[in-house]
Amino acid sequence: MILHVETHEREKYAKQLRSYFRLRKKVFVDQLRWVETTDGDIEFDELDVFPCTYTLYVDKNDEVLAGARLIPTTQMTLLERWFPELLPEDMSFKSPTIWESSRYCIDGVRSGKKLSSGAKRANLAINIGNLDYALRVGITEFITVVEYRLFAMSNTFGMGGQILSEWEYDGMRVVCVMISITEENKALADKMRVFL
Amino acid sequence: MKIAIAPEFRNQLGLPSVKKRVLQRMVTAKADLRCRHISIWAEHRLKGKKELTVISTFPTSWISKYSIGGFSKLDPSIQKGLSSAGALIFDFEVMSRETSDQFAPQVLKADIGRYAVCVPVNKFVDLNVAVTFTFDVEPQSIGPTGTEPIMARLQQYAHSLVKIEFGELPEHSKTSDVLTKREQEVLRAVKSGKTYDEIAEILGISKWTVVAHIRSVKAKLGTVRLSDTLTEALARKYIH
Repeated sequence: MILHVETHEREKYAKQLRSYFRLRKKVFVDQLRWVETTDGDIEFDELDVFPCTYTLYVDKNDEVLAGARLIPTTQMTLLERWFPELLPEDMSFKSPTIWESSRYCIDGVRSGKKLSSGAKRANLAINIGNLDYALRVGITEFITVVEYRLFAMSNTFGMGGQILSEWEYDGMRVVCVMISITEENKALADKMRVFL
Repeated sequence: MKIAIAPEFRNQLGLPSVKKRVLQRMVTAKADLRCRHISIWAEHRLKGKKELTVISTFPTSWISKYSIGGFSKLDPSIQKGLSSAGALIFDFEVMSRETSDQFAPQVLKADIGRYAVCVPVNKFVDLNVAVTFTFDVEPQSIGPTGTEPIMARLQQYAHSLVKIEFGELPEHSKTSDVLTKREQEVLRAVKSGKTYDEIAEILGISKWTVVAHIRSVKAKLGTVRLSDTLTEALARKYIH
């Protein structure tokens, strides 16, 4: 099931959020080593304190299989805070309709079978979840920094977006991507829903 | 606390009035979005002191319920909207069946719009705003203008109203009004009638980067429509 958790719903979905923050710790602290600081068994940064929305893909026990954090670029974003050099020259990206997707992670063990495209079902779920949310609230583009591997997976659904810049981090290919919410994306998402 | 009201989008003698530029933008938004009313509920800090600003086009009889009837504690746009990131849509017909409080039935009785869309505008702890637009029909059934869907236009109008009313706070210096060299180049090309594809080719960037530059310019100038964006940029002499 795909959930969108707004700031005022954090209490209602406390169990699922806790599971997401644990997954973030596993992925960003233990595996990728992109983040050094943690709060016990969870990863929770300063941007989680402010209003944001979480797209979560949860199993029947409310355990999170994949998740992402969505923040309007009119607020402080991860890209602006930590990766400003990744943006194309002379560009601010600050618009109420451009949102950042960050802390996108998938539980590699429990994220479900691979689809024929080779991508994981959980990856498809987050792509569709983000698209649905964008249509609901009026987001026109997402901007995100992800491992190239995840970008390539999303690209197999036609939802990868366009690479704005890329670089290598600790031997890993990382890309800054812009995903536009287009009629083509909507049509693709509707076709792919049957795989969820 | 500051209260400014323009019932039915008109400032009236004897009532605390809405700033002319804010009211003009509200009138434009009403015509563009076909909404019934617009209301701004802003909680902000000035010199460490918590302040409340309310700007509204609701009838005075409805606004008075917020002070007399304590509706601010019941209004979901305020209660949920102030702490959300994304827009929230409320259908008061459905709510009046599903909730026991008197807010939704009173909305329907007052005939101020069956639907409300609350667009949060958050600027960290310094400024939290819920901009509410009410509609008689389901907002998402209202078609796009050009390429912009209704919800995207609502976001832009909400942010532009907040920008006009509150301006740029020092904490938001990163969203300065000054256009970058690239943004000016893109805008000049738009003014000369070039399409986004043509601009992308000329400047050696992608079409979506062109789109993002335009969105950034709109956010900086507090505009929604491209024609208004060009007019504003000309007025401020960013382009000639």
